[in-house]
Amino acid sequence: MIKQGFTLIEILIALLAASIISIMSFDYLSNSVFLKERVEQNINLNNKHFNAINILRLDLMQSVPFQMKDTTGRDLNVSFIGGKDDQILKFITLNSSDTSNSYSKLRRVTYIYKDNTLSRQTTLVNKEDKILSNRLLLEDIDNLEFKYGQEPENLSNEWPNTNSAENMNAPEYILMEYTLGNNKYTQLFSTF
Amino acid sequence: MRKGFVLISTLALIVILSFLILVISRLIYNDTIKSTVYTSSIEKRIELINSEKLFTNTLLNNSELLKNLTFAESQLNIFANTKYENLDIELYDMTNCFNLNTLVKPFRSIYVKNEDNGLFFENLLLINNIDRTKHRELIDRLYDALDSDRLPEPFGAEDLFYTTQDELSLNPDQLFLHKSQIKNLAMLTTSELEMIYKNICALPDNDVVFNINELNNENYQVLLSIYPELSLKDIETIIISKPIEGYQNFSNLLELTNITAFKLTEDYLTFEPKYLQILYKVKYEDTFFNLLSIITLESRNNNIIRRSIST
Repeated sequence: MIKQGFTLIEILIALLAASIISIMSFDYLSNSVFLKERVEQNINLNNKHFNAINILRLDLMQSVPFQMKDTTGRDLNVSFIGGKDDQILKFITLNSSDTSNSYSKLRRVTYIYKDNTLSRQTTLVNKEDKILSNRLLLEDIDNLEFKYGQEPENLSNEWPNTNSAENMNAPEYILMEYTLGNNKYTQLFSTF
Repeated sequence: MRKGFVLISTLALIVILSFLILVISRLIYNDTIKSTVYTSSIEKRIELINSEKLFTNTLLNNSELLKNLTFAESQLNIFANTKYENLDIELYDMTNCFNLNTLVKPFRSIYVKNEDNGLFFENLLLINNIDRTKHRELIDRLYDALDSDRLPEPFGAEDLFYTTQDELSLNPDQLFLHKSQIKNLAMLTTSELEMIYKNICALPDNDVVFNINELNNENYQVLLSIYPELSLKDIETIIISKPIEGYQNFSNLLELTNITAFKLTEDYLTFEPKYLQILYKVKYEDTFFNLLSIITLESRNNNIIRRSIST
């Protein structure tokens, strides 16, 4: 008589072995999944934060000394405005990724801080009502303050801060202080 | 046989679980890398900006090298690679493009049209087969956009037009900061723009000047627009006869090329670049990042005209 199938002992041994391995690896596996979620969560938060800072840094890196006009075509005689109402930064930058056939690559960039959110708006250089893009950069950002100046030791809350010709240009140093997720941050920018 | 089955199934389970853990670990690694590459690219660009002064001073201190830009580029790369391993620097002479801002000239405290240079620009339009009926209007619009007087040109229009055009974003009364501002005039078609785009630029200068040592098959049209008496044969002779160290001066150029002074005058020629475009290409994590700087070689301080993160 030919013996077929497994004995109960064999099946139990196989199940026992599989259970031991599963229990041992479950802990490691669940840790890995938990770690992946945490890393993703942190990366997303940091990405959003650092992307916002890097976007501002890139804009300043590509800024140009374009003398702006207001909506009525009146000369403002400034190429950089800082700290006016909720429009905390306003200047002209070279949008290198723009391949439009109708407009130049120059864009007026306005950073707006309103209701604890920081957003970036781009318009045509002398047509502020012609909005080309509007992007929310950071939410739940508190105590945001900008300071501007030609020397890091001598910064003021507005730019231009005097009527001298020197201040018609962009400030050399821009200090940004804010609170995000209970952490206080300070960033120093330069228009290079 | 049966014992083997138990062993194989147990091993198979171990392999599957290990594979799952490997996949998850890989995902974590990829996410981390992706987020750091972009941030690092910005930091590397800022690092380059901080070192740029050193590079430009090296060029200015060895100005003889500038008569042969290819040689200057290779020397600068050797120097730069001692500090940055994965950096490649490319130099382009910006002197040899037609500067749109030369269409005006300073007069007392304002800018007025420069008709002589307007003729040069018209020559460039002719060479590029731009629709002749547009020449006058385009040039008049450029005059009116750039000048700071209040006198409208016959085919142009003064500030009121420029500020009331809703779909245009013009900047009357100041020099162009980028050549793409010519698009704002809404005069040329895409194909017409493509034809002249590589040969135009916007630099903070009102003098027409051409660096004869960097004449090549891409910018010869600019030289032809300034010196319309030159023939293509003359252009070829200038390129072929150029010594390795470059033409040293105007008499050296005439002597080596046998071109008559009637065709070529000294007025608009230079033998070294006046403006340079420096393109930095940084390799990081198998990705290339660019930083482009336009600089003037006429001063050591504040010599940056503008920067961009792409070409």
